[in-house]
Amino acid sequence: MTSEAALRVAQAAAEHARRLLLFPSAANLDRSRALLEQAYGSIEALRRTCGEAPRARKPELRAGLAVFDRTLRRVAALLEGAARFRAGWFQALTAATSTGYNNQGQPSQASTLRSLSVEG
Amino acid sequence: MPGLFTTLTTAADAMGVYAKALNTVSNNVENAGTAGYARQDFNVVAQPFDPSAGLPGGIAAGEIQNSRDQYAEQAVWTDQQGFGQADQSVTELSAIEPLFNVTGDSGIPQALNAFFGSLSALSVSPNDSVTRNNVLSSATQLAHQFNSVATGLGNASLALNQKITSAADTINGLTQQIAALNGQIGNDARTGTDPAVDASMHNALESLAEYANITVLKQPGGAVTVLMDGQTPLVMGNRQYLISASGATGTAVVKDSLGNNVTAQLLGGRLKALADMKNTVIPGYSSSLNQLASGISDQVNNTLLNGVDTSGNQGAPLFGYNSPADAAATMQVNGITTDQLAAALPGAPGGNGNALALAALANSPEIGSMTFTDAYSSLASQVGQSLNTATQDQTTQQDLLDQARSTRSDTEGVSLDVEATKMIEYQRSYQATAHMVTILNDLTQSVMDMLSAT
Repeated sequence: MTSEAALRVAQAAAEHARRLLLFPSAANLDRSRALLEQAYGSIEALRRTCGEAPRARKPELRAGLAVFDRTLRRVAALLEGAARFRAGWFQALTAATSTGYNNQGQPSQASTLRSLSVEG
Repeated sequence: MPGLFTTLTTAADAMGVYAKALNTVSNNVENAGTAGYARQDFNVVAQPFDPSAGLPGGIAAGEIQNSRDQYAEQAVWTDQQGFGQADQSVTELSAIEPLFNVTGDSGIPQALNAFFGSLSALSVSPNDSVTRNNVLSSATQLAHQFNSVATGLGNASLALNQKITSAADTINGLTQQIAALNGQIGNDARTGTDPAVDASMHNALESLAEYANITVLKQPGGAVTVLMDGQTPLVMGNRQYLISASGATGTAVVKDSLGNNVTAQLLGGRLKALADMKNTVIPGYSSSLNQLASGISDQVNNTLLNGVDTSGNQGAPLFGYNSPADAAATMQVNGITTDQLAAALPGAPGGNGNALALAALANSPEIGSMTFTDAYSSLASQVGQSLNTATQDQTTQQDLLDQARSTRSDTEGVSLDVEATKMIEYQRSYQATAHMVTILNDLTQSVMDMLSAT
């Protein structure tokens, strides 16, 4: 595979991963990871061959790699956005299922211990 | 953006903590059928207490589903506000960036090259009248270019006045709608569960979030309290609190309903982008441009004063301007004749000693450690870089907004126990993907370095 082809494959995989992360289900996260692994393989191939690329083609490769880098940053931002959402959402859920405050002033967790005494 | 890649791991850790917490809750749910187990009563719940995030704490009647939906809505509003701010920044910077040409074919860089080229020619032919005339005409052209860019920046700043006022009007229009919907809910409690009212309320809130950072506190029954930047009330019950904004005094000022200046508290949205542009970005560019214009004027004038003209008189200053604060806008060529250009040094009348000193200004560090041309290039690239960053932010924020909207849909109507299981699965997937992104980023940077080095 030529350096240019490796870059094209990596870019296509990263862009596909980005589109999947717009809908960040666990399944899409796994599919994104597989695509990023594919991108990793292509960039690794590029790393091995770029030293042999003619000097005149290097600016073009650098420009292509910059585009890939921007896509990767968008992927990272989406991944962080998804994590931020989930973490906050989990926090909201735990708060909603708690019953009061603990001694640190935070909403306490639901207690599973209850006792019932019946007399008579 | 190394910070982003660093936070990926931190975010994974945070998710792990919450996943464990929810696992406990999940156990509660799973044990609901166990003999002796008393199911939690979710009718009374503790609310999170975090004033900085606009969460007031306290005890409220609530349902799990409502809490979750409200969180998902708030996430959309947060990203909407980020998108609005980035989008507005791109719009404003796109209007400014063409003023700062970097090619050298036109604008200030071309005028600078022509001016110092004419001084270089003067050092070769110090007594040639055509050459002397070229110095005056290229100096005039240079002053005009500074005037033109300063005028462009001034016009951009003036245009912001209308936009700032318009953004405040839009905010007030939306809060009026929200207050009216609250009023309907207050008059008839059944309205709070009316899907049409709910949809109108959320549409208005989502539109509002594009213009300002909002915190929405949902009241029992469906009415909402809306705060801007966590502290400025916009809507409480059926009462609307009008804000006002103006840039007419030269500075963008946003005021709350009591007339307090809340500009410094703006956290996001289009209004913040407009205020930042008016108060920080454009003044910063103007200041650099003024420094450059006054620097060129002063250095050229001082050098000319060290020389003598064709009659042996002390040289006259070439450039003038009103004050350092408006040097670019008022820079002009003084009314001197070609003979008054001091190309010679006092000890060698008719020579080129002072013309050489003038030409040498082109390559000497006159603005900090930079030449005049380098200082201009630095300013122009700063403007270009700001636009580039804002454009990337806009793209990223659009992605995040799309993602938040899809996630909001995804989280509607799911059961708690199923979600608790999904969270653990989610965290595992997230950690693996985040790790992959981090190592891919490292590899990409390493290949970039290789390509740059060879």
